[in-house]
Amino acid sequence: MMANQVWRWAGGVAAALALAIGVGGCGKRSAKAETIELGVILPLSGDLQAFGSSTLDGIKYRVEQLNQAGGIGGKLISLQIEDDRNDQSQCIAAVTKLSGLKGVTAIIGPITSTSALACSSTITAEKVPTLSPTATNDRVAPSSPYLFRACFNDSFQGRVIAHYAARDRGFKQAAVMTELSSDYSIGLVKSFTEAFTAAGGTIVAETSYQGKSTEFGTQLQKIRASGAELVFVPGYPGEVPLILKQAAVMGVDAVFCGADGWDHEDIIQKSGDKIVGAFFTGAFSPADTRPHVREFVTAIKQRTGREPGSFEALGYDSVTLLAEAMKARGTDREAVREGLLGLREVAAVTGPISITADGNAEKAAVVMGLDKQGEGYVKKYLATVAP
Amino acid sequence: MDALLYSLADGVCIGAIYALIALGYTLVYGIIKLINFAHGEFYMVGADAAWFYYQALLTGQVGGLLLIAVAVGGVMVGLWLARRWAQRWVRPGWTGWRRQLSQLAAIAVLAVVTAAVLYGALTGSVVVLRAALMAVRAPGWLYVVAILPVAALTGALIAMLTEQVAYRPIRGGSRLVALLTAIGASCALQNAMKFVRGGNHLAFDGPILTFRMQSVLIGGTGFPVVKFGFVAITLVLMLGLWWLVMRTRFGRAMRATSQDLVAARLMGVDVDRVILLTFALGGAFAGVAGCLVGALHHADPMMGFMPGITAFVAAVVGGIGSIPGAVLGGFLLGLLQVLVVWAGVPESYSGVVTFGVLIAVLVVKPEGLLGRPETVKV
Repeated sequence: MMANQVWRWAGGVAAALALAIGVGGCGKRSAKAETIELGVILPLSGDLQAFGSSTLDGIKYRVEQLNQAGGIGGKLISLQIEDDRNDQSQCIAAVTKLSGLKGVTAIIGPITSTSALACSSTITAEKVPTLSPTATNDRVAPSSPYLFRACFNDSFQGRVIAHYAARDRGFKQAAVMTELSSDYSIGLVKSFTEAFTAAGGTIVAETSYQGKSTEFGTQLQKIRASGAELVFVPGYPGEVPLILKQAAVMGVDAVFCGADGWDHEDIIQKSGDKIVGAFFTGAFSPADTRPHVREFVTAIKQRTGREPGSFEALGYDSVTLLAEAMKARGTDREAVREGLLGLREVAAVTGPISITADGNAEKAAVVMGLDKQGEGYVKKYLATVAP
Repeated sequence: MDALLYSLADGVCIGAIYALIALGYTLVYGIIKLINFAHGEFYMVGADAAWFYYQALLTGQVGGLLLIAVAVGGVMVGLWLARRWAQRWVRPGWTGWRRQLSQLAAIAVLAVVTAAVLYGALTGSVVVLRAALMAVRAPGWLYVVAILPVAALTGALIAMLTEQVAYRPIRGGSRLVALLTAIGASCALQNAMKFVRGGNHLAFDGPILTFRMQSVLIGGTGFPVVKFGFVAITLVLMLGLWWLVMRTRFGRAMRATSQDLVAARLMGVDVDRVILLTFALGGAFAGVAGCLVGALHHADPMMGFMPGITAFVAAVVGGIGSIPGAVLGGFLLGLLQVLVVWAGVPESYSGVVTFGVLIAVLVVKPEGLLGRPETVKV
């Protein structure tokens, strides 16, 4: 029958198209001598898509700036972007592809600690210097001589938020909510718990949830019953807005706080009124008055229509760090690694950064609070804590 | 005690959603012995469609994605209609290119006409519903009611499309092939949606958000009112399904096909149509479930995976192929998941418990709690 034939045609055309797109994608391979190829691995789809695209905004803006200024040693930077969908096996595959097939000089990414830890042995084997903008888990940078980061680590960050809560705000009883599938969340809860108890507070409820869950009733019920005044949720934009909305419905009175994963418009704007009064640690304050930060904030606002958060800023700074390393030592992989290790007090938008011998970034953190303004919500700067 | 009460209420409401999805698995399995792993995707598509329709109701503008969906849907439905009707447009004497051309023309006309009708229905319904909702200053729950039919319809359409494109060509082949095709269909739908609408979460703001923030006190803690709607809607749909299966001609045809496909065909049952409509029914249920959960949380392309798997377990635990079994299994699993966390088992073990129950049931009573044991005649 005719209609059957049409179905078959449609199927054939679809298959051919898919094949063509696939093959076309593989055929793109240009390693021109006069460009520096930088690999980028970010979750550009999936549950952390919001983080990935924000980080990419910062990276792209910095690369454009550098290229307009003539590149590095006369060579322009070109980006090779891979989407890891926040999936660890995709991330490992992306490292192999960028390092082998595309022959990149260095990689920026991945953004989660879980992914960074998953691909750290591949990075060591490929000997490709990799700079994660935001993987804060303590184990990330020391796990490979080629793995670096532009952000502070979790034992520092957990200490900052715990000390701020216990000393500056006088909270005594706190509850924690851990995302079990995230090394980031687990590590932060650990360091927060230690610092908060040491500062004289008590953890009255320990609860946990799975990534991608949507129901938190039982956990919030437990927190409510425990009489906690503060709830620490070092989570991601997929779950935190749901947790806060559900807490509002259930009448949980405690104040919520989080870590750098909160520094994104997807959490700030989508969590409802419960976000007012909440606070978190960030890498960056858009209210910073230094001229190069003002320029960065204005430019990102113009490009994306949003105020930049930690993700745009750390994406931007990652490129800066790599560029400084390449300017200092040269553009092959070993030189970039040595160059990164030699960086001291680099003037980045998230404050001066020094790279330590194990690949960690030494830098300050800010505590940001949240307030309502008109229909939306705004961040306000609360405190800066140096390491 | 208070916490237990709260957890029980929560478990029943989540269970209602699992039951609604599990019905789709069980209906399809009952009739063609196919485990339709793409079923969770019907749920996801339903939630997405509901979100886009909701935006149209709020802004009065039908978004580009809805238009694309309508165009694709129209062409697909048109092609499907053409299977049946294109023959009639051909003069008996015509052969060769004349025959081909007239059939092609028929298909094109049908596709365009259905797309136009669908477009008209869509924009018309948006205009009328929007005016009505604005006129009565509708509360959030009325908006949910208004978008439910769209979710059901989209779920049904996508289920029919999947059946036509992915399952019909391999029907009668090995069950392994069917199973793999189902997994493939699931991946394809997930990624197609991701490609079309991006990977971000779409939350239902505005009146629905206000509605979902309303709560009643259970055991001293606020419980979202909207979740009771889950149970109510699920119960109504289940009664409707029971009536359809047990009291109508179509239901009899379904039961006949499920007992013996070949015999049913020999008795004059249009088996293909029955199967297609069974898929539509399951898809509509999944769409409704997706819309409800989406309205409570958000819609995203990966949302169908876990509920889909859990509801599949529910269907197997209840006895796959058995309609009351799916409902029982759904409520059981919903309660179990909540009670396990209430009892203090770490959340990381909730999957272990769910699938542990599956294994236990398969070992002790492989046909499921309410299933009929499969007898093999040698």
